[in-house]
Amino acid sequence: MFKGGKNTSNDNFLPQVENYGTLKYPFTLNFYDDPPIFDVTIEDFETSALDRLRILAEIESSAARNRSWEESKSVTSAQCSKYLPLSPTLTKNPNCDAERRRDHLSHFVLRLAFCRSEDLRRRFIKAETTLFRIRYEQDIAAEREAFLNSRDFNWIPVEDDERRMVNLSADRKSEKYYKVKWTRVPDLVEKRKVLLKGGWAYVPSRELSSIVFQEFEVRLEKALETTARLLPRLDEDTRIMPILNNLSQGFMSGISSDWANNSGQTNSDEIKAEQVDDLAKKHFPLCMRTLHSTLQKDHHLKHHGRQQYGLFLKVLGLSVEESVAFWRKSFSSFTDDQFNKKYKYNIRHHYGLEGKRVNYPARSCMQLLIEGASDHGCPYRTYSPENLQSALLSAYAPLGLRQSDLSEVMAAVNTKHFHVACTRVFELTHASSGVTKGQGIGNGESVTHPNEYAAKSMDLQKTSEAMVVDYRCLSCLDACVIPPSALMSRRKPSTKAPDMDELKAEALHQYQDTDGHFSLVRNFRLADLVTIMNGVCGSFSIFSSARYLLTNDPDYLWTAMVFPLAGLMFDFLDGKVARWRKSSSMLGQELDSLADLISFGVAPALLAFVVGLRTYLDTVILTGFICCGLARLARFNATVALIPKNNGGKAKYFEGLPIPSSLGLVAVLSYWAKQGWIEGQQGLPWGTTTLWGIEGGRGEVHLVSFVFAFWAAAMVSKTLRVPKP
Amino acid sequence: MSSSDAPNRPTPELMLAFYRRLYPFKTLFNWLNHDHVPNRLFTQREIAFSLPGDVYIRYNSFNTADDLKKQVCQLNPTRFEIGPVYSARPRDRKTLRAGALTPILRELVFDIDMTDYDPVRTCCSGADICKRCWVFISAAVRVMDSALREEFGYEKLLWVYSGRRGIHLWISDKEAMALTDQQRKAIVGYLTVVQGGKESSKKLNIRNGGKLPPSLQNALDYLRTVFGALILSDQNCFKSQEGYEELLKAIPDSRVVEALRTKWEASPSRSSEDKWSDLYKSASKQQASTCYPIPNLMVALEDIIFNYTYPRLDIEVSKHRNHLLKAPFCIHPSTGRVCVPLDLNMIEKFDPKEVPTVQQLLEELDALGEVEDPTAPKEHHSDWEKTSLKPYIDIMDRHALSLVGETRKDNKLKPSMCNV
Repeated sequence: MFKGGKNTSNDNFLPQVENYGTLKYPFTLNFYDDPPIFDVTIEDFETSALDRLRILAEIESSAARNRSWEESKSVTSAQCSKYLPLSPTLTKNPNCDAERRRDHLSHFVLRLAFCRSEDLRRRFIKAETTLFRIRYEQDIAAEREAFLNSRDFNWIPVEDDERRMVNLSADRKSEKYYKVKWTRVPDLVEKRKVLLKGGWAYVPSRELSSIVFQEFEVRLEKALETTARLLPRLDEDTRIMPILNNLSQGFMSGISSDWANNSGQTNSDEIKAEQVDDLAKKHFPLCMRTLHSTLQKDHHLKHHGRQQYGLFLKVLGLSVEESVAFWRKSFSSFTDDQFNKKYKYNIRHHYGLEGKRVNYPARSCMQLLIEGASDHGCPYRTYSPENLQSALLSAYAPLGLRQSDLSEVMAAVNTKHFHVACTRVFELTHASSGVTKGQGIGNGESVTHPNEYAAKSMDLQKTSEAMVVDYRCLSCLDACVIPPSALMSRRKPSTKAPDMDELKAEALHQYQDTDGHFSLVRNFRLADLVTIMNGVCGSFSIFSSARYLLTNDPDYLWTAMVFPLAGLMFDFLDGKVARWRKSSSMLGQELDSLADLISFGVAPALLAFVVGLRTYLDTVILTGFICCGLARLARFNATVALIPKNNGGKAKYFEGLPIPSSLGLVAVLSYWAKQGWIEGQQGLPWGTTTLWGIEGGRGEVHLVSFVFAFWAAAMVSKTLRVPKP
Repeated sequence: MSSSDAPNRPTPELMLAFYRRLYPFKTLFNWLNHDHVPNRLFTQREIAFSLPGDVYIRYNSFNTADDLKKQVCQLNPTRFEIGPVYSARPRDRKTLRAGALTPILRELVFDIDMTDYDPVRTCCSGADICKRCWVFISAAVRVMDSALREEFGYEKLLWVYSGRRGIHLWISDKEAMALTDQQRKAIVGYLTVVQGGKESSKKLNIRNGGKLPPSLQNALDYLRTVFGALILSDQNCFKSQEGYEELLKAIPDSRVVEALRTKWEASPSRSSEDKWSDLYKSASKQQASTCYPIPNLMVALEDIIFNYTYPRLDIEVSKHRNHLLKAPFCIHPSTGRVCVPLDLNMIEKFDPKEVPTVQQLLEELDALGEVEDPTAPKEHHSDWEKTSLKPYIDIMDRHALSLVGETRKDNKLKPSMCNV
């Protein structure tokens, strides 16, 4: 098929490669001047092209996601070493030539695939030039030099007298200059990086690479146009055209199509028919969400929709029995008889149990993008912008997608980067699981398969479930599904207003999206500062206690006892401030708990130690007290959303004694201090008892300690419910 | 100005008479074709007609100047525009394979429009133009002309007054015609310093590593002289409070800004020149004292000069080969003035208000008297010789002839490549 090309290729090369032994391709870099004129199998033809396509797709998606040059360079070279490795000549890798041959072949196959439309050509040139640039920059300097010397770039070294004449910048005396027609370095001209004179550009040697890249680009552009003109002669080959069609469509959808290959097998976990609805709400990409809701609404799906959704569910992990059960339930307007006759065969067919008995893989994004009716295919492509926006909002608003995010998603859609839009939606809806922008579905990869999306989403939930206390179990009890965002509410359940969830999600995004120094402090709300003041009070109390121990000055003891009270004041205030400013934050909720631990956990315990609970067992009990407080606060944060609420959204009761109640203990301690019933004066009331061993030994404990132990138990209790005031 | 536009608005009858008797189709043909014998530079050239009522007819092409004239007289367009040379005849486009009609050659064109200067001119605004604001244009023409001739090496430059408030530049050198869109974008980037529009006082990004590129250094040396005469004395840009606030915004040193503001508020009568010299003094003081390395006020002053006087290009016009631009000698539909080519030597003396209008030209013809019998079919080619349009057409003719001469020279060198 390439026989039409010029037959001069390698003969020209041979004289120059003597230094490199018998290598047919002396350099890793290649300008692809001559078509490959060796025999290839049709399989090589396809696989090498597919591998190169993966790399180019990665380059395109890097550009679409605004990765920095360094970042996209590293991502791309990772892909390169995976799919199309090119080892430098120095390594003496015996496969060196075969690798380069493959690179050469794949480039030309893709030329055939992408020369056919203006748009494809433009994108191909851009991606290939970027790939060349990356390889050029990563090539070993000596080899790059050798490569450059092997070609004539037709640049003219500037002699000294000419240099003086055009008055080249004097400070770079040592630097060599070359002159070329300015049209060969438009990028340098645009940035005014070169001196122009009479249509000649004087290019310093450090900018020479620009000429090389430009040359590559211009040559490729010309070659593609020529190929496009000659391509009709290829149309007769029935084996090649389908491959080429497939390749160019793959590029259109930006797919590196990993999933297309291995999605014949199903995910490991078995999924039950009744779980599908729940999973659809949480984990499905928009295409499958749409199909699911159409199915729920109409109790029917058309053939293609059925096929698309059925195969998706199969790969998701629905066994054939569960699948039949699911479809039977969904097609509720049909009788059993009708269903068995018309649809059951179809379902079993998907599983390879009927007809051709092929275990069909699920449709990849690439396939979905090519099809196109309204209720199946890729909604990012087929929907009108308005419909898409409302579909996105209705589907993903409970998962944290907000109106303000839509512009970003729509921008990707408008530039026809549908997979980027889908990936961005994934990132936004999984922000609560810690997925950040640019991370994609892991390692920065974009969505290429609906099942990949769903599987990754379910994975993420599993990992976050480990953190959120047995969330699914609770949700089963509750019968209703609680979206993860509900767990983010501020510690005061009473602040819950309908729009609060949204505000919180926004606050969370703000933390994620702010970069730079002091981002934490810059994002502080007023309420957060008040909460911090609570922590400050607690800390002061602790230091005052310590000072009292050092000096025995009772003033310090009083200070230590008053500070937790001040802390309580701030604790009340922060909720008020948050409600008043209508700005609660994720941070606020956590801060609140941590500050409480200091002021109402650690500080009172230390006070108790100071006034006299100083025996060995006393400290053990006080430590227990602190730990129970700690556990209680953690439980509160995790479960606050699950406590039954009254109409106003206020929680009806506290589960276990709230930790600020420990101020009661502090009050008792201060009464004793006033009466002088403390260590160093008259001693604590009720004195000590010796549980074991000698008096004054390890077994001695103050009876008062048991009050603290009881208090600790009450705090962690689940059955004890303290009604809210 | 705009109020007086209405009576100047040419009627269809006037337009038709103008096309029949005065429009120099032959000159236009020579200029586009670079030769006397029609070749693809003309036959595959897109010409688009604007008819009254927002009707726009694209993808016309013609074999000869007479064909064009016949069609123009038949359609009587308000104006017509010139597009690129395509790879085939644009009028055959429906019979071609999809994608086969691509632009291949096109004059490099630039458009400078007075509206982009609104933030820095005080005499007029919007669509209006007067002799005073023409100075902005003539400065821009000087800068562009020398850059394009000396740095890019182009020679066949034709400046055309756009009929109202702007100026077009057509570059017909062979190399310029063949530029790709990417190269056009590059040249526009090279020549763009001031981003037009609202944020004109935005910081300029023109220094690579702290130094002005040599091309801009040359431009700056010329613009300094213009700045004094135009901005300071004629336009008196910093007289009003908004004017000098705009100036102060561009100064990076807040202490200097405060000092100058208090001084200028105290004496509102200070002229722009005084204010500029105040500013210049503080800049040189700063430069003299070594304790201030940055922010460099002198750099800021240079930026201000660029901001106020450097050409402001309408970049969209130049970036793509397939952009259409109004042909020379068309009538501007709202002023009735002819889009006349300009000689570089008279650019400073040019007054847009003295450009002949279509009524005036036809009156001149009428004044000559009905020499010939109007019913007799007669060539009107030389009618313009007797009107005030003649000097402009002579400019264009000279330019076209130099292009034709160039083509002849090329053909002699390589007779086989006969312009196809």
